[in-house]
Parts: sequence; C-alpha cells; structure tokens
Amino acid sequence: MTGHYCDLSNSDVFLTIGSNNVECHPVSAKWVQKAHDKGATWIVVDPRFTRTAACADIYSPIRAGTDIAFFGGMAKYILDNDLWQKEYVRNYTNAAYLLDPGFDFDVKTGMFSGWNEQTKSYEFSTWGYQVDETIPADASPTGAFAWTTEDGVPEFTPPGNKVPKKDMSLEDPQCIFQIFKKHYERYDLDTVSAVCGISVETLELVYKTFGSTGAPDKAGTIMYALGQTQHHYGVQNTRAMGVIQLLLGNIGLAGGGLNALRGEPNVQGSTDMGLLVHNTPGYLAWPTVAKYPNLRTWLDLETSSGGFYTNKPKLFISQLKEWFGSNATLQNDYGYDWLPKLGSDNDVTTMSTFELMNTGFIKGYFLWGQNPAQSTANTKFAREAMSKLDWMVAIDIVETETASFWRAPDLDPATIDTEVFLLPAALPFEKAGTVVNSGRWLQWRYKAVEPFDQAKPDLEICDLLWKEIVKLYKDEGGANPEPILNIKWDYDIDGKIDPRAVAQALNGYVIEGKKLLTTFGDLKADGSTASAMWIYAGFYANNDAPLDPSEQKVGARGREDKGGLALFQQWSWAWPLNRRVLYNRASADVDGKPWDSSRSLVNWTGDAWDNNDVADFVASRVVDGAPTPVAPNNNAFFMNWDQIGRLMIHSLDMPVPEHYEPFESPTDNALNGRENSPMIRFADKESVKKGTREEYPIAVTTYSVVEHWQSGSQTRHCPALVEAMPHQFVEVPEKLAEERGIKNGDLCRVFNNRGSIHVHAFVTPRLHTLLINGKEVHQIGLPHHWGWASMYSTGDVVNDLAPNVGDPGSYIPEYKAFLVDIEKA
Amino acid sequence: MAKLAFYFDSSRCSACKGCQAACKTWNSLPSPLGQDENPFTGSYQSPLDLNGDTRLLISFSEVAGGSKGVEWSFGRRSCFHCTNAGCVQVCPSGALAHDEETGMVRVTEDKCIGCQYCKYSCPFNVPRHYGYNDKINKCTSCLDRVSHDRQPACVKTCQSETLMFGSRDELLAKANERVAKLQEQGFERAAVYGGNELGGLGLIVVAHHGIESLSLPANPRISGMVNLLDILKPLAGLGAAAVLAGLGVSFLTGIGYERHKLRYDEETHDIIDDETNEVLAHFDFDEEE
Amino acid sequence: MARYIKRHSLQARITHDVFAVSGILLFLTGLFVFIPPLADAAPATTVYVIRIAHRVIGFIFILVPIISAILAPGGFKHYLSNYFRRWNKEDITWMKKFIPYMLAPKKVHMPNQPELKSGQVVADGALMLGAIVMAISGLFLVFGTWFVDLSAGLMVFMRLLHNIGFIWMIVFVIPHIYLGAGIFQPYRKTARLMFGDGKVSESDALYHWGNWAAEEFEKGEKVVEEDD
Repeated sequence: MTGHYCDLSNSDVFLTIGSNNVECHPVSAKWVQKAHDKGATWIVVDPRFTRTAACADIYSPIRAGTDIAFFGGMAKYILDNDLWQKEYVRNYTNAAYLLDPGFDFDVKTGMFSGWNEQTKSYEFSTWGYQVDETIPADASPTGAFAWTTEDGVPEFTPPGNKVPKKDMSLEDPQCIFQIFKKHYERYDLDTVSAVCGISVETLELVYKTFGSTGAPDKAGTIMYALGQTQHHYGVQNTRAMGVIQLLLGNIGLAGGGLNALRGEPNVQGSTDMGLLVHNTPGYLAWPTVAKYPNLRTWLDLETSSGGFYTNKPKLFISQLKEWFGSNATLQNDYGYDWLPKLGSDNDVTTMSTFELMNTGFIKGYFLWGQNPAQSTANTKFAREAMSKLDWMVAIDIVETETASFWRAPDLDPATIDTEVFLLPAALPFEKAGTVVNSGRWLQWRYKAVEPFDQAKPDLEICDLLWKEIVKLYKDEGGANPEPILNIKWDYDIDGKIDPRAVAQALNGYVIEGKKLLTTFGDLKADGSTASAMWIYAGFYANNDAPLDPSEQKVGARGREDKGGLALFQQWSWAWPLNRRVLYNRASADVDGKPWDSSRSLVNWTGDAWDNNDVADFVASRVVDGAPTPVAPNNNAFFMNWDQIGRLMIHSLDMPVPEHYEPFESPTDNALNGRENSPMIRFADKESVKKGTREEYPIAVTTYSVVEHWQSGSQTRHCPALVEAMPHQFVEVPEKLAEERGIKNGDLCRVFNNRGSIHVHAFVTPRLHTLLINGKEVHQIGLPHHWGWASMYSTGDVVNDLAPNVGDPGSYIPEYKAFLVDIEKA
Repeated sequence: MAKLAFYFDSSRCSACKGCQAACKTWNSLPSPLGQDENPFTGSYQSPLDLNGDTRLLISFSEVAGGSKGVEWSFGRRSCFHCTNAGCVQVCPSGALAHDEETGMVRVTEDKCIGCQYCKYSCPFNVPRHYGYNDKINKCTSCLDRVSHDRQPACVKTCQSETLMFGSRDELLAKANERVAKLQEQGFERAAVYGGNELGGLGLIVVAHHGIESLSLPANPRISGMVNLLDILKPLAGLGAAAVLAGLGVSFLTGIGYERHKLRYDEETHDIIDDETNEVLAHFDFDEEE
Repeated sequence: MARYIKRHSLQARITHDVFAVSGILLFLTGLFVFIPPLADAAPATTVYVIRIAHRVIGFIFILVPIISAILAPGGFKHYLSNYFRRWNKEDITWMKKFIPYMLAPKKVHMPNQPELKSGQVVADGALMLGAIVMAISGLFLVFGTWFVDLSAGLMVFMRLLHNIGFIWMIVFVIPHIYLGAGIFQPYRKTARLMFGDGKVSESDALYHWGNWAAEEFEKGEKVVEEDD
C-alpha cells in the first residue's frame, strides 16, 4: 500500500476493484466504514457481487480480465469531462514531457513501436523522452556523487542526468499528455461497455463518482489485490490504476493512494525480504549472468542518475558486507562474484520450475510454507512434474497437498519414486520475530507458547540446515564452496539462533563497534557499514537496549495521532523511515501548501517544513554540518530518476496500458487487432493446452472466501472454520443454471482441457450473464481453497483448471480469467 | 428492562463470521470432526440453524433488486435476551434466569434438567440442547467475560464495529440515530428492532434492509398457551386442596359408621338385612326371563 | 362359613395395580418438573434422573393396559361394555344422591347397581380419559424432544394438555383412592378387591352392586365359600 489501513478513514471515495477487501482483508473494512460514516462513497467493481459489494454504495459487475478497458475508459472520461487535477498533473507527472518522435501504437496489429521479434520483447528507445541535454554526474565535493571518490568505494561510472524536453502548456502533440489522451480516444463509453459487460449508465455513474476526486481537496483511493495482478497483463492493470490516481491527483494524499491490500501471511514482509527470484532483500536487483556479470556493471546499470537511487551502491555494498562480513573487501568486489547468478537459459520463476521438473532439470525441491500442488496454475501438470523429482523437502505446519502430492487422486503412488521429507514448522505464535502488515508497518510478535512436539521455528530449521551444510563443506568439500564458506552467519545469542540478532542485521549498523543506524542515509559504499535490508533501517536502532524488542521502534505502542489523520506515528514503525503515506510531497502544491488544509501531511511554512508525516522527499540537507530545510520543488517522486509520476513509462511490456483479452477469452479484442499481449509468458508451452471459446464458452474467475485462507492448509484444519464454510462450490448465474438445468445445491462438473472438478452449485443473482460485444457471456465463480489433504474438509483442486500462462514482469499466473464448461454431474 | 445489551448493525456487517467462530472457541463448543461431515447448505450460511453446539451464527438472505441489483443481508442469529423472556418464564429449574447485574438471560447449566420447555416457549426459536441429558445451549452473553470487565467474545472479535455490547439505553439511542441516518441515505426500510419488543430486547438490531430481510418477527409474542401454563399451576393446587377438603368433611361425617351386614336369599330372590331380617330388595328373575 | 364373589381376575388386578403404582410414581416424578422450587432444590442430575424415570414409567403406564387388553380381548370387551351401558332412572337417582351420600353415609342410601355403578362409570371413566390425554400428550413431549422436530406451537399445546390432564387426574385420582382404599368409612376393606385376592364379600357385593351380586348368586359360577 502507498498508505495504510488506518489511512482509509480519510478517503472521500473508495474504489474496490480486483479486491474483495471485506472478505479477504477484513480489517480494512473497519477503516473504510469509518470514512463511510463520515459520508464517503464506496464503489465495488467485481465479476461477482461479493460481501464487499453488499457493504458498498455502488456496485458494478465486470467481465474478468477487462480492467484496462475499464480504466482506459475512465481516463478518457476524466479527460473529456475535465475532471483531472491540472496543477498536480502538470507539475508532478511527466505529462508535459515530450516523447520520442519514433513512438507509435498500431491499432490494427495491437503493437507498440520497438518490437524485437528475436527477443520477443520491446526495445525502449522509442518510448523515452526527447532530451535537451545530459548533465554529467557530479562527483565534485558538493556534488551528488561526491561519495564515489571516498576510500573503499568500488570504481564505477555514475550515469549522467538527462534533462527532458517539456511543454508546460501540455499542448505539444508530442507531449505525453496529448499522446496519452490520443491513445485512449478509442475507449469511449459504448466500446468499454461492450468489452466489460457494464451498462453505459453504471459505467458513467462509477466514472463520475470516482472522477469527482480530481478536485484538489478530495481524496479517492483504489483498493486492489489479486483480482488485478493475476492476469498476463497484471502489471499493466496496476499501472492503469496508478495512472488514474495521478490524473486525479490522488497519489500522496491522506486518504488517497493506490493500495494493494496484503494480508496475514506476511506477504509484504516476504516480498520485502527478497522472496522473488529477481530481488535481493529491499528490492535491489539480483545479479544475472547476462546483465550484471560483475559488480561494476551492476553499479553502472543500477545507479540512478537522479533521485534517491543515486545512492544505490551504498545499499548494495552494505548488503554484501552483511552477507560476507570481513570476507567482503574492496579487493574482491565485496564478494559479488560469489553470489549465485541467474542464467538467461533457464527461467526459475514458479511456473517455469514445473517445466524444469518435467524435463528433469530440477531434481530436488525445497518448499517453505508453500503448497503449489494445490495453488499453482495448472496444478495437475505441476503434480505430474513433481512426481519426476528425486526428493522434496516440505516445511509446513500441516501435511499439505504438496507434501502429500503422491497421494493426489489423479496420481498412482506406486509409480512415484520421489522421496518426501516433511519438516514440522512452528506456528506463528510459537516463535518470535517481525511481521509486516499491508501498510508496511513492522511489528514485533512475541512467542506465546513453545512449539508443539518436534516443530521448530523456520529460522531455527534454516540455521540447523545451514550449519550442517557448512560443516559438510568443511569436512568433505563440494561444488562452489566460496559462497558457502565465506558467508558471515553470526546470528546466535547465548549460543542459539535468535531473531533479535537477525533484526539488528536487517536494520544495519556501523561495523566498527556495531552501532545500529537510525536511517539508511548513513549507509556507506566503502564497506564501513552493513545492512541486510536498507528499507528497514531505523526499525531496530536503539543501541541502549539491542536485545529488547519492546524498547525498539518495532515494539512501539504509542497511541498519539499527531495531525488527527490516523497516522498513529508512534504505533509500530513503517518502512521506510516510519513514513506512513508514500509520495506525501504530492499532498501539497508546488509551493508546499497542502491541497486541502484539513488533510495536511506536509506543509511548507515559508521557511521550514511543518510535517505530520515523515517527508518522502528531500526536506532538509546538511549544509556546513547543520541540517537546513530545502525549499519546495516539484520532485515529488524521488525514487524515480526523473523524480516524477509517470503517465507513460519506458520499460516493461507496454508504455501505456492497452487492453488485451485474457489468454482464454469468450470474445475477440474489440479495442485493437491483437488478442493477447505480445509479451504473454509461457503461452507456447505444451502443458498449457489452450481451450477455445467454442469448446468452453463459460468465463470463470477464481477467488477466496473469508472463512478460508489460501490453499486451506490452515483453515481446513480448523473445525470451526470448516463448519462455517464446509464445501467447495461454484457460483452460477441464474440464467446459465436455467439453460443447463442446474439447481441450487446440485453437484456439477466444471472442466476444460487442463482438468475437471466436481463441485456443488450455488445458483445466485450475485453472478451475471453479461452482454459482451453483442453476445451473451455467462460468468461463473470458483473459490480455490480445497484439496484432498485435510482431516475435516476436502474437495477437488480448482487450480487444475487455471492456465499456466503469466505476466512478463511479475510472472504471475492468469488465475482470474479463463474458460471452462459446466454440466450437471 | 435489561441494563446491558448487544448491538448489531446489519449495514456494517460484512458476514466474516468472526463472531461465529469466536463464540465457538471461547465457549469450547465443538464443530463436527468427521471428514466432510458438514453438509453443503446451498448457502453461505453454515450451519443453517442454531444447534446444540452453535449459539450464534450469521444468517444470509439474498434478494434480487435494489440499486445494486441484489440485496444481500447479513443477520445475527442468537439469543435476544428478552426482558419478558418466555424461556425464563417456563424454566422449571432456575437454569434460565435474568442476571441481576446485567439483565441478560443467564444460563446456569448445572441447574438445567433438559426438559427443553425453553425451546418451545421462545418466540425466536433460539434455545437448543445437547448431550445425552439435553442440556441447554444458548448465548450466555459471555457473563464469564463480562463479569471481568471484558467484552463478549463475539464483540471482541468484530472488526467492523457491527457488534457492540454496553449500556442498553446508550446502544438503543445509537441504533435510533443510525437508522435515521440510513433512512437519510436512502434505506427507506431501515428499522431498529428490540426497542420495545417483549419488554425490550437485550440485542438491539439495526436492519438496514428492513426487519423482514433478517427474518425477524414483526411482533414477537410469548404464546398465550405459555401464559396459560402459568395459571394452571395454582389451579392444580387449588383443585387438589378443594378435593381434599371435601373428602375430609366426608371422612369426618362418616367416621365410626358400621354397616349392617347383608345377605342374599336365592330362594326368595331377596336382599336381606342380616341383623333386622328386613327385606331390602326383591328380584323377579323368572319373570324377567 | 361366609360367601364371596370373585369380582376381579388376577390379570385385572395386576393390570390395575401396576397402572396405579406407575401413575402415582408419574405424579411424584412429574412434580419435580411441575413445581420449580422442587427442581431448584434438588441437584440437576437428580432431577434429570427423575425426569428420565418419569418417561420410562410413562411407557409402562401406557403399555400395561394395552398388553392386558391384547392378552384378554374378551375381558377388555366386557370391561368396555360396562362403561357404555345404558343409563336408567336409578343411575340418575344415584348421581343425585352422591354428594349427600358422601357427607352423610349413615342416613343416605343408594339404589342397587349393576356391575359398574354410575359413580364408577363417571369417575373411573374420567380417570381413563385423563390417562389417555396424559399418555398422548406425554408421547408427543417425549418424541418431540428426543426423536423428531415438532413445531414449538404443537409442543407447547401438548404441554398445556399434559398440565390440564394433570389437574384432571388430581381431581379424580384422589377421590378414587379415598373410596377405593376404603378411607371412606362405609368402604372399609374394599382395598382387598384390587390389592388383595379380588373377592368381594356377600354383604359388600350386595351393598355396592346389588343387581350384579344378586345375578351372580343366582348363577353361582363366581360364588365361593370360605371360613370366616
């Protein structure tokens, strides 16, 4: 989230789209209701009438997978009806920037300029700005790169800063504002209505209501989750929402923002920790063979020419120092060469791992709190691939479907040779450590009870394994010994692995004397500081009580609310630097005056900043050894090199979000000549078994219900929750039920080329038969929590049906929109 | 009138069933433990009704219509803690009684004899019974928590401030305010339930789609037969006393009475007083034949 | 030597006695549910056991007369026919004299009666009717709480019926005991009829059921002579 749950209470209009926040993030509802009480309007757009829709003021159905059409239409409506926040767009976005004259979009082919048929991806040269001049990097004693000359900093070439051409009147036909506007000309109400299956009246009501937050003193927020991301253009769905929020001037405001709701599983914390293959902890790039063969190329390419990321080398070298300790030196590039690097030949994102198991490339599989035999897309294929493994280690609190994949109803245990080890993990309340909530707040969770029987905290399991591996390497040697033998692994306290020691490492410290740091601003690229994760710097920085989490910011329990905007600055600690609302500079105009004085996050009084939140911009600078306020400027998005919000981008798979149809779609693309996004991943894999709309005419979306959690491994072992929602079901619109002779409660078969499942039918007016491009399309819904592994509640695996194709940026599968057929069983 | 009360606002309820699960866990109420033992209910509502192990559940009702296309109403199904409580009225053993401190209908399980009269005298069909001896199971308002200054388990777990527990007067005022606001927002059928019903309920409900949407009876009454039952008890005592008194008089008047012996003479077909030889009756058997 | 008439068979006596004893036990056990302070005073488990006992005894109460009727259909038919006999002037006189007779048995004398006198037809008949009401409503209460789900209205109605039946029974059982057990002075020794050998002395038979006794002496089949 750019904000946090409590901040939702400041909103004027909510748009819940691609989220079912009442069911899947129930705590968010508490804060939405607070705003609702004050008169806020709540819009829900969802393929199903969810429990969230029941609580909202306005509900619109939508065909799953058509969000970009929906938001494109909204962008056009906002521009056509002059609802955009003009001063904000002009100053805080790249609307005024002139785009490369080579930029083009061909509606007939559905392709942007720059396509490289060889690499099956876009080259970004035509998506960039026209540049006036390039200012070389300033390494002089007063320059931004002065630190690069210090002893111990590895040599690299800081990039020069480009100065783009602009037209502040926004009238130049080559300026992004005009090109953006032209791009969405096609997204008129009638077309969007036909593509999304929303009536023109409803569409107008939603657009008008949310567009009203373009007024400078209004804040609108978008709450989204997997309904937006789990598409092969999921990143562009998210971009589309970001663009809308920029047009309406909602990013950075209290009660505004673009809020990805993240929940209990500590998903925010685990992505922070570098869970994804392309990240190191703190969202730095993981080295790859092709792009970053050595430290210097990493530093050259990753160091930004402007904004905060000009400091990136400090973050990365401090991270290397934490990993390799005193073994990391300037001479050996701080151990960079020891890091295992991703090759370009084998993609190891989730969906690919099963292809690699299938071909025998991956022989062993470590699973830590994950259940892909139930949860990945095209699970049937995944299970078959797993059966070719030599071994599997599953670490979990219960025996999941994956730990028992050989018992799957569609597999024959006698033919599977995989050796499976199940290591019992401790429950959340049986171990100490941090959790990070959706609003990026870190909180210390204390151990309540000892783990049951032989179960151990994950950290302890990890530690035991690691120490044993190191011992084996020392005694017997092995392949690639350097990264293993050179690693600093000193997280014991009183002879035992301890999360407090890990917390100190995450926080960062000056190596000399191990003095904990209060800000990542103090990290250095010269090897004198260590930090496992720069974004957490300050959360555990009390040097007076380094072993007492309750004396640290992470244990803070103050209830004050300075400014009355539900920021609760003294309660827990939000990364980065306890900043509660990201991009908060944009909550005030270029002169630093809040757009709305009742919503003041930051405020320039004329000679100083009077802020309620921690500034997310350069608010002060050390001049002659003393911090001195920096007068307001328009650098509101200083994590970007251009320090500005981007209506159009020069990376990823599209410069501006364009509608494509889901991989399996019930209709043709009415907006351009191409069915799927050209960069869709894995569509060519044999395992995918695409179905046509003639064979499988029913559109389906999958989702969660509040009673269960993800693959159900936890909740299907809780009798009270099983009783509250005991069975898998399919929600069927009344019209389809009538056509197929399905009655409420009937057992049905739902199937496509990938799988076939038996589920009970809920026949309900909450699902819809939509009019799509002139034809009726039935849309059904399947919750995805069931599998065979439970003492109390079992069911077929819904993800057997989902296609294993995904997004080229996030590699997320397209769970949310595909095709099936349904019949009475 | 109850001093404390629950408050349930259907317009805020998200039907997360947190209260339902919290009620089970705090009160150690079991759920079915067999694999796939729970039936498919054909609804988000599960179980479909209260049972011996379920004191509280969230009810669902979906009706096509309204500005959003569907009106999906979520309700709280549990004890209403009536001031004029049918269950308390009929309970023969004192297991159900009004708690003096709070006014809630207290359950003293040790006193329950399993007669289940409460189930049949409740206008809301709430009490359920469990176990071999049919012990009462109904909402206790978590008096074990309340008496230690804690909120009932369901209220404690509620995120959306749908459920509250506190001074009945304050919560009733809050409910009236809320309904006024909801009506202003266009919920024309919004209504407060529990203000005066049965002398005032200990569960005040704000029903934003109207009380019918939550299947609440418009005018709950304790069955006339239940009141009649109350009259019968003194009547039975009175009857017994009258009969005994009458018979007492009869006994006294007859005391010491010795009857003359009678004998029958088959020859003469006469009943004869054995002492005076007086013929008391004569039968004409032959003539009759 | 004295003459007796065999009035009640062994089966009839057993049927009556088991029925009567279970009825009394039902009365006592029922009180614990009927009178709240009584249930309140005893431990719940005791009251529970009493309640279950009430139900078990209830089944005996219902089954015994039914079984008896099945075993002796002729006797049962005869028994019923006594209740449904035609009423005559003497019956009317009897009924009119009843209360004066009860209060002044020395002075008021009753007309001769057949095998079942009018007072018995009314009082015992009422008793039987009450028992049937108790049995049916009791069965509903048992089945409704243990085996099937009946509507609350029906259950409350059955309970009401059970309570009304209870009052009814009180009104008729107490006089029945008063008379049958011979607490009423002129009726001394009548307990022997049901709780003894079932024989009635010549004098008692003539006093209570003159018409029937005369007939039996004429026929002589049931007449026995015993030592005094």
